[in-house]
Amino acid sequence: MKKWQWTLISLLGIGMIVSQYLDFIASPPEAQMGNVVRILYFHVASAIVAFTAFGITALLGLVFLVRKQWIWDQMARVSAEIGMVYTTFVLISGSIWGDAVWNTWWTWDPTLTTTLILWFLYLAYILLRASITDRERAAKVASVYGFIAAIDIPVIHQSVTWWRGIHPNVITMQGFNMPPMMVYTLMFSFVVFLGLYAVILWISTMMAKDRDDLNDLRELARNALAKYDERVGS
Amino acid sequence: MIMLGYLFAAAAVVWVGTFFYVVALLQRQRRLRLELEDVKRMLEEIKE
Amino acid sequence: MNFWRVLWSMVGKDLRIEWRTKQLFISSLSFALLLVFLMGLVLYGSGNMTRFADAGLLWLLIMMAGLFSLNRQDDKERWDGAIYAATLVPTDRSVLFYARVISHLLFVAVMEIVLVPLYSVVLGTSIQVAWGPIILVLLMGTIGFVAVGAMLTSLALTSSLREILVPLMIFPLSVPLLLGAVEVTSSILQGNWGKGVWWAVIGAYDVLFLGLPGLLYDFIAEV
Repeated sequence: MKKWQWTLISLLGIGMIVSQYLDFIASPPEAQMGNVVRILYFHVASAIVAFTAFGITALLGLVFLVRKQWIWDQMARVSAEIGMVYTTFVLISGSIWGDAVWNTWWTWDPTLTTTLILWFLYLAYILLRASITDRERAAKVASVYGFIAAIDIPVIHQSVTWWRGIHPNVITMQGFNMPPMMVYTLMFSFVVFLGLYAVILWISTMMAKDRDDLNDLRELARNALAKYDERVGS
Repeated sequence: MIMLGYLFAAAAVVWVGTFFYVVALLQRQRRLRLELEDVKRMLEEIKE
Repeated sequence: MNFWRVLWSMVGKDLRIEWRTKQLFISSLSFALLLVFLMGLVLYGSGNMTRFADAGLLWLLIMMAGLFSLNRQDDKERWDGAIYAATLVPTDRSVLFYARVISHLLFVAVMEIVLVPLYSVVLGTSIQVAWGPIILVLLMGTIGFVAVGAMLTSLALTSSLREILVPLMIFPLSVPLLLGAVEVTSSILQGNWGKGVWWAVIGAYDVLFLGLPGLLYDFIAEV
């Protein structure tokens, strides 16, 4: 491995350890919820990563449609996959939280409902990509779909909010209503999670690019060989 | 009520898992790059 | 001018095919009738259902039936690669989208004329409360649903998982529409017009999904 990669990995590892320390040792338990509040550091941070990832997918999809450079599409594709993993994590950690605090694993609360819909929307995105063999067509179609899905998310959220509403509003208009130590922990958690997202996004994009290039080259080689065989045969 | 110990352990497992996932990802990426260069070289040879 | 001529000839084509074969109509309607019958059977009439459940079930029924016929129509357009030939239209390609919306809308509307009264009879719901608002909400809701469906079927055109992907995309994307339609319909069944905000949601869906694909369709229709 190269030097910058080592640096990156060590930074990431340190961030994780510090985060673990802050989440479980340095930060206080909450007055009513006790230690369950610690799930929040993972839960909220994952939610932020998921939203960022899907936002980036939508944005890069548009950039791809305009610029027609593969790298944007590759990055959009990878970002959606990462977002999907984090959304799953949000749903699971939210369920654990819900069981501990609200005494139910699932409820049709607006935020939960929106997240579940989000999960289905991007499941469809990934399946859509995977089931179209023509790479250019897949990229275009997915970009359009990703864009439409992203602008639909606020509408969905608003509509399910009007529909019904017990999710804690931790971030209110007056800023955070939490003790400072918790705020710092949460902030640090955001940084680590977003950093992790950026690292995975970067590596996976390089891999996606290499894999696409590899497929192109193989195709090229196959065609060249076929042509060669033809010439020898005739 | 969830015990603090379980939470801690679960989070630690997730962190360690994620960390090694990233390391593995880096290695896979490197192998892919090598394979790509291999194929590139092969193509050059075919051309000649 | 050209746009409208192409649009009408495409819609005319769909209607003519349907008029001669009646294939789509018969298959979709029998599926929908079966659904109504099953609902009535498992729920044992609807004496024990709330207005809310009535409205929700009605909309699920309409969307299922609409989805079924959407898939059939998609199949039909695929015969002999007709859909690919259609991309040669001598005008803006969004005409393909609008033609699909119009013909499918007419189609689902005719199904609803049969289904909705039948639903009210089988499940014992009194839809005669107010015909005007009911027809309006049915029409607006159906337009939105058909527009979303038409866009997504063209997106999934070359996908090998089409049959499962289209519903997987339609339902999450049209959740607000579904909620709005159910909310408004249940209010109407209780004798009032329902909240303005839900009418606005339905209206916004109609405008958004009739407009947006028109802009983006050039990307989608390049096959």
